[in-house]
Amino acid sequence: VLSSTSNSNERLPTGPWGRTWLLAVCLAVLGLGLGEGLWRARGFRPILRDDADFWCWARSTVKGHDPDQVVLIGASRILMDIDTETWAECFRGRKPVQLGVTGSDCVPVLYHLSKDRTFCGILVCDVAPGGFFQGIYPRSGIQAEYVKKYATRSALASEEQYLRLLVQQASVLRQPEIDFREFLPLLVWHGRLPRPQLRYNTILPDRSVRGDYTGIDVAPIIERGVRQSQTAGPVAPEQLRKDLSSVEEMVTRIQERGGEVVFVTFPNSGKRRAAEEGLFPRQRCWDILAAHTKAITIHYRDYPDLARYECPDGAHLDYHSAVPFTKALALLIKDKLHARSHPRNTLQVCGSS
Amino acid sequence: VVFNSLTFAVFFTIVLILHSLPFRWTVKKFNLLVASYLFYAAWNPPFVLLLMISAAVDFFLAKWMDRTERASARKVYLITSLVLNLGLLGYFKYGSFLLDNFVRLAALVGIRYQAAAPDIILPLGISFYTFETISYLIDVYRRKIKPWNSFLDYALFLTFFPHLVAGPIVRAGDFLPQCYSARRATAAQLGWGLSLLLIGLFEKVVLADSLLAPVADTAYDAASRAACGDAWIGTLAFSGQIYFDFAGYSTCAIGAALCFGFVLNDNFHFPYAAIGFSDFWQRWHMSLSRWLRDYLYIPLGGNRHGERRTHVNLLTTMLLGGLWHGASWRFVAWGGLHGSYLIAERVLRRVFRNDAWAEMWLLRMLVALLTYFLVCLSWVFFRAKDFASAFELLTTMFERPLMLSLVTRTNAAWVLGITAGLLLTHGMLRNSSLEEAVKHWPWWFRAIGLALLMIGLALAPGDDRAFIYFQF
Repeated sequence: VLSSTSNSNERLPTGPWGRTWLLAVCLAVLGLGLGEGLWRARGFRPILRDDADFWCWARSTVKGHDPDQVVLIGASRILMDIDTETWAECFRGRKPVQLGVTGSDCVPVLYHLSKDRTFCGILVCDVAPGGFFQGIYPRSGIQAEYVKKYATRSALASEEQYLRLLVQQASVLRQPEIDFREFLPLLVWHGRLPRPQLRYNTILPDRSVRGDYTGIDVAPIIERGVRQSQTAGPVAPEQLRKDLSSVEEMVTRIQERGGEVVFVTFPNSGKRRAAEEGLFPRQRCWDILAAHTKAITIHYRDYPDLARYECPDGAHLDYHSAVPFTKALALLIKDKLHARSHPRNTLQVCGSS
Repeated sequence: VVFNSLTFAVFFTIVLILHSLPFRWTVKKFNLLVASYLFYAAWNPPFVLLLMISAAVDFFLAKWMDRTERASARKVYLITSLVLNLGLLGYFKYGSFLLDNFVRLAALVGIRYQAAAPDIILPLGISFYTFETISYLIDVYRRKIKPWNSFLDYALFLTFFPHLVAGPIVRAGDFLPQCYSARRATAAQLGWGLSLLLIGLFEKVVLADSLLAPVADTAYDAASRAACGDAWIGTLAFSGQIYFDFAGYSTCAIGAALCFGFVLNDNFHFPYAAIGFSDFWQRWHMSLSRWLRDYLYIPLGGNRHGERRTHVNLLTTMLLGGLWHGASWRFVAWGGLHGSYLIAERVLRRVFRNDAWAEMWLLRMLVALLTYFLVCLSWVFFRAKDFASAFELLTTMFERPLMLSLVTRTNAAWVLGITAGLLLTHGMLRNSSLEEAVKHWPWWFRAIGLALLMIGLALAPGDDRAFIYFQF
């Protein structure tokens, strides 16, 4: 038996290590190259993973003490409905920072940025009724987890994420659908490999999501969305007032630093709209928020330029609609900032001086 | 920067190239020291200061201690170092735990006291480098080693990035003499060092993180809903996960050091083939077992004062060893369980010491399996969120029917396959070593093995998990 002070160096395997490593690297490159070719031939393409590290990387790009910094927070609607390139054309070539997280609500990040004393930019919040009016939880949920991770991330986390993005963009082997834990059993037991899923949402390098419903059967997505909308409905009026007071404290903190908060309700359509509006009637939810807050509020149905778009899956715009929608929204926000004689009225918004 | 990151690959390549350039040895050591501080700073830059202070204080205390012959003065220097190092460790690691227990104790005697949450960040690797620096001071105090003259060497001993954050716990007597003369890896050291780095990464990224951790999480995060099969599969998964995670880290550390020509001692030696618990602790986290033996168990009296006192010493050592792993009573329970196992084994050995059948291979194999079984039971306390879920899972393990409700059959098959492979490998190599096995492989066979490891790493889903022992 080896002693507790023995070491690998005493037992060093000798041999032609240079040749060994050269062959190993060649075999690995060959094997991975073949794998890459095989998966691409089956129709798979590299995609980016939207996870906590990616979110933290985006968060790290939010500049402090910058009144022109625009940050987008909320859920999948703000991820898909805002075209960041179009937004950049409108705002002096500056893209907004996309901090939306699918399947969540904006309050934890609103709370987090309100506590960040350096943040004094424009915060555009996606108010999805399902989350916002069902009770606010600034310190729980997926966005709160992301915020927690951001606070404890390592000093080189951004560089690590940058390298990961490079690899994910270059190789199909890094995409989540090609998971050896799934495809190996499938191959061994059923003798087949997975086929790529037809995706309608492509994650872009700035974390925004491009929706393309071409060839997609949207009926099951709509049904799933309607089922997900069948929740408990809004909290009791008294609780809602309490919640909105908490939200208002967050808004006030940002406004006191010279920042601005914009609450936006993004478009929905068809059965999904009926389900959401049935469960979260505007007068019991949105109108109370709009009356209660000093922030700018925009409900898409109040503006024909925002309300003329159909959501293919009932809740999100596709990329064709996202471009004009983003222009219209950016113009509207600029007008609202002007109306308040906001110091940020120098922003050069598309088509206007 | 951690071994399983892309930034480490870039960092390691740069440092390795720098180390191979024709600088003077002192410059090379300085480069390694700066690289190690950068490695640490990549996590949280301000805590580098703590590391520097710890190194400077103990370096000078050891020198002053050596200059005096007065026993009382030497003792003062030692106590100063212990108070400082253990004080820092106590504050950062056990501050919240002590406060929490104080509040609970006060509540028991009717005092309602609500303390503000201390919100202390645990500096990475503090348990490891504190033990390293303490062992240096004690060895100088015992005159086992002379204090080292070069601060650069001493700082490098404490900070050398391969072992800095999760061990092995290096002894000054093993490391510092390596700083005398220029070290550059031979072709065999570089070839095997890189191989170890790759093997360690495969253990961590593919086996621990991708295949075992998600299954352990499934069972332990929903302990109340786990069926008998889930509890067993989850526990087997965790026993494999913690081995591949920690042994993987140690393998990476040993391999990375070897690439620079530095030798670190073994930290794991096929522990799941241990026959009994004293054997287990000579194979599991060997650098910690050795530290606890030399600086805690033996000073407590070891086995020199009769059987009962030996048992007390064993239990005390293992309870404190458990607490070293984390500020929680669950770790104390885990340590206590291992202490009890060691005492029971000691008693049984006395009873059966002259029986020839105790040496039969079949019996030895059964004892090895029993050891693994009992080690697995102890892991329940290590992994569970709290005592309630630990007892819940332990109870569930012995209920019938044996069925799965949370873990999928595919995942169960992965866990059982890996566990069988793990036990088989450990059994086959328990009296040998990985190096002995690899020595007999032709070079092209080694190349195929390395290529498969690289492909495995590239295909791993990339679930981002920190090394478990980082929190200790």
